Amino acid sequence: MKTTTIGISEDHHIYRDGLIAMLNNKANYSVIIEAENGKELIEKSKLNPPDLVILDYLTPEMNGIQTTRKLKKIHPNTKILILSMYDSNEFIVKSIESGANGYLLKDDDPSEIIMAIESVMSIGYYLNDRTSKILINQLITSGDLKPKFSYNDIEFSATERQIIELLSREYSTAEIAKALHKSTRTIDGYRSGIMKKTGAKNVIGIVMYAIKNELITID
Amino acid sequence: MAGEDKIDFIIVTGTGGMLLLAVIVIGFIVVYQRKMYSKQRELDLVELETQKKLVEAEILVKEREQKRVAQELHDEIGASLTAIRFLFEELDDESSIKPKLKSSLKDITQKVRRISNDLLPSVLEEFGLLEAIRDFVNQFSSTNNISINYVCKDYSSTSVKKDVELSLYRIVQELTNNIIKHAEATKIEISLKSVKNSIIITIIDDGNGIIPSLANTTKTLGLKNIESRLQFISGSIKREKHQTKGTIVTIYKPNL
Repeated sequence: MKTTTIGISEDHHIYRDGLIAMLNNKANYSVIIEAENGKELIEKSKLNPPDLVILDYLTPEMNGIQTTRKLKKIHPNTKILILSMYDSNEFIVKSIESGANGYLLKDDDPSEIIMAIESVMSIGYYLNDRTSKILINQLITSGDLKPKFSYNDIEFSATERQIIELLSREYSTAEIAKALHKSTRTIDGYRSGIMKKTGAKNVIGIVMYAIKNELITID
Repeated sequence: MAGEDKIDFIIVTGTGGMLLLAVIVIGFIVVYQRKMYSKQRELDLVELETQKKLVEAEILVKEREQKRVAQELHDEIGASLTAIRFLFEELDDESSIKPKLKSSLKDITQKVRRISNDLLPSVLEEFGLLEAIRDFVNQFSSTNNISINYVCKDYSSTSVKKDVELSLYRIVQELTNNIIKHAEATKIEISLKSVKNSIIITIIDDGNGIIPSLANTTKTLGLKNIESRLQFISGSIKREKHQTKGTIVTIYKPNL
């Protein structure tokens, strides 16, 4: 099994140590970067960016959103999971908008962190009940969610539509490839094409676009 | 004849003199009173200024202290509580107390978060007034089961001081709470906008239309709070009956 390399930015040592101990206990995870804050994490990821970073929202120097924006620019392939004490909708919405692949509360069960990492690594995002509700609610009530999607009627091919549908049903790239009898590389190609068309930064962005433009329906 | 002339002269000059004297006395009194009046006004102004400074100092000290406590709670207590959760994972005993402990730990963490947020609204601190009111509206409408419509237009936090945003946020909170407590409303609409150099917030409800007086001597703590906040940011408030039902409150903060 391929090892997932992880970077952690967290200024509370007790929490950080606990998190690292839990992750290193798993056979396929390896924490390769420890940082006090976002700035330090970005510094340390320069040469060897980890597959995934876990960011505490509130760290000195740079908060989770600023770090996410910067990381996405430098290492677009690094997945980002934000861990936070803040449970207000605004924090969740703004984090996802800036490109985070998932948002967890620090008082969520630690086992959920593992679940989230697995989900982010395989399908590109992790949303639990709380975050999906908040994001969907935001779309319905305000309708002004950024990233600003272009509203020109975007044409999707049949395959693209199928992929969007499957992405929103939490299919992984491998699963989509299998279902559509295509290679995973082809699916990756389609997915980045869809992102470009919709202006989304990640899979969550695609799903939000799809909900908003009624390409898919929510049960 | 000469004697009569003399008497006439005496009468005329005498009367003239008396009149002159009277004019001088009256003039003196007028000047004196004016002086006294302007002095009194000066004193009043000084007193008003001192009072305003006192109110400002009081609010500033209170907010600073609240901020300190909120951050300590959030950063220190909150972080320690969440760190304990990892220790639980390492506990391998399957005693029935474990889930109970876990759930009360979660409960305490949530309470700490709530108290910290009441003391210092984290959304306001991180993002600004526009988002903070939205967050307040979200939470308030779900806990009080009332529909609140929130509209914001052309508002940007960048040119607004945090002190001013916090005061406006507290005023909105207070007024919305008052509506729930006293107005028997079913709908509330809050709007926030910037026009030129000023901020205008309006709160409309469809309740009973009773306007609690700010000038009343027996005003509640909440109303006093609104008044001192307004004084602090040099803002004003207008409360009117709204069409056939409810009230419309306009908060105006000029000169950003």
